[in-house]
Amino acid sequence: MTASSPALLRVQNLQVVYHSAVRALRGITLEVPHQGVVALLGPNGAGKSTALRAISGLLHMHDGAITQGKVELSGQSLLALPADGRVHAGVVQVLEGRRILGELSVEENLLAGGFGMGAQARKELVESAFTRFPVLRERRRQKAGYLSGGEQQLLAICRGLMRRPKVLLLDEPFLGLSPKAVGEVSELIQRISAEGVAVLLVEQNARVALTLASHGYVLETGKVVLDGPADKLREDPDVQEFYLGFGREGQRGYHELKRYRRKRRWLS
Amino acid sequence: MTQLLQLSISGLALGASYALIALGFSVVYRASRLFNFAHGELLSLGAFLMTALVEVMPWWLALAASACLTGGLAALLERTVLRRMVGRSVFTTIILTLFLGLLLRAGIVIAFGTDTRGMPTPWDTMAEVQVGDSTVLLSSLISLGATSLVLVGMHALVQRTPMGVAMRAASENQEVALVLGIPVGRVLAFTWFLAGATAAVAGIFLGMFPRSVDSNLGYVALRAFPAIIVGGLESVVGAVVAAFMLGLLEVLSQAYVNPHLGAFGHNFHAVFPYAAMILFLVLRPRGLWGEHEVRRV
Repeated sequence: MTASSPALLRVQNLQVVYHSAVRALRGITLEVPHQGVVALLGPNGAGKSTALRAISGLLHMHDGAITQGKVELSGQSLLALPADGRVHAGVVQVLEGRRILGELSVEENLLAGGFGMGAQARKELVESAFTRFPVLRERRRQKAGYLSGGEQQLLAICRGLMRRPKVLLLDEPFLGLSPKAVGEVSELIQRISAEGVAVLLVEQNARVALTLASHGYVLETGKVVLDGPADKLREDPDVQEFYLGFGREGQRGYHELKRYRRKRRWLS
Repeated sequence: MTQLLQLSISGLALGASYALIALGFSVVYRASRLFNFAHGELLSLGAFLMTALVEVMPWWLALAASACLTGGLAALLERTVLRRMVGRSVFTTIILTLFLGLLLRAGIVIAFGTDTRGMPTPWDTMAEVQVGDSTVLLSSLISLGATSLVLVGMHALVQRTPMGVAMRAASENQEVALVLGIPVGRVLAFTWFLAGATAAVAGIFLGMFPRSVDSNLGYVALRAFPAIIVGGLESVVGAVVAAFMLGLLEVLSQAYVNPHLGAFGHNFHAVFPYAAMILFLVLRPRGLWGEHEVRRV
């Protein structure tokens, strides 16, 4: 992304340490524009969730802390704000593993997502979620824990939309979903994006993520090793081999692995 | 038969106070995941404050003021001391709350002395009313009514209001509550405030004739403990139902178990609820309404 493009969310040289000892992010920089989906890819333990926690202010829940770097929304630093303050500023995260509140009813889950808003506004937003997904209306009084996996993820995302966020941070929304549910969730993400909400999508499933996203970053061991427009990343032989799973013909030779490592060094 | 009715009403009145204690204990456990052994001293503090405040203001105002002051202190304890203990071992928090309880108790003795006090009431303290063909203490009826009202109010607050939804969200998963923009810290403080205020109300009604207010009043909270265990720590409704049963059991066993059975009869009513609790734990370890976590994989 060029420096002149107006970014909504900007993360600069961010470093994060867990338990005052483990370096999880070693200076990452990324930008999310006002509209569209940005994908953050990478294997387990690369620091994807850590990046989201740093943006949404949840690091303290995991004994983590930012040691260096900036997180800005429209040029305003978010670092001084507590997690709930960042939500009010317009940065809403949907946690990994469809963490709906299982003991609360479907409707209460949505209402909880609008805590502190006017009664009228809350009601309208709950209505709009029900209109999006009539199944949620049918089950509004049921405990949310009894919804199917796909429905839970849809509920979790709709709950995140209750705040009318500027940017939505989605942490592995496709994890463990059936192919049909993956389709529904990715359709919802497309619609949200079309409605003008910026999305930062963290995924291991690069195939889906890169079809939704316009831009992508690849994170490995706490560093951005690759970044570029999504279609370029889809074409990239390394991404194809390591994230999309269709490698070049023949065995992965030692020489190719070396090329990949070399490339990582250049980029980081 | 008349005696049974009489005893049942005073048993239910006692049970209603136990229910308030159990409720406070249980909402705090759900919100902060700790056993608050200082809860009894909060109750005692509420009762002592009432005996002092009633001298300078109308009775109802004094009731409200004692509840608010006690609730405020509970919220302050949460904010300053106990919030730092989130995630620490159960043992640590138990020792800490026991210690806070001791401090409170010492503070109460310093401030109010060790004398036994009667709890003043705007109605004639020893008035009796005719129910059917038995006479019942007016105080018992009023305390049954008032504490039940508080219980219903709490239930409505937790089940029907946005704050209640936020409280339940925060007690189920703090991280989720935070990403929903719920100010978890304020919600926790409010929960403790409610627990302290209801403890004070329980203390005030427990201190009424035929009982009185002294520095050992806080131990009553330990007598409500079986209700919390039997009702299921996770279930507020269960704890409340069990508390009513416990009050009835205590009063009835006090009246009907022959006190001349040697060691077995003497003060048998004091241990009976614990015996019931142990039996219950053997038969139903989850408690009366112990909740299964709703989870679908």
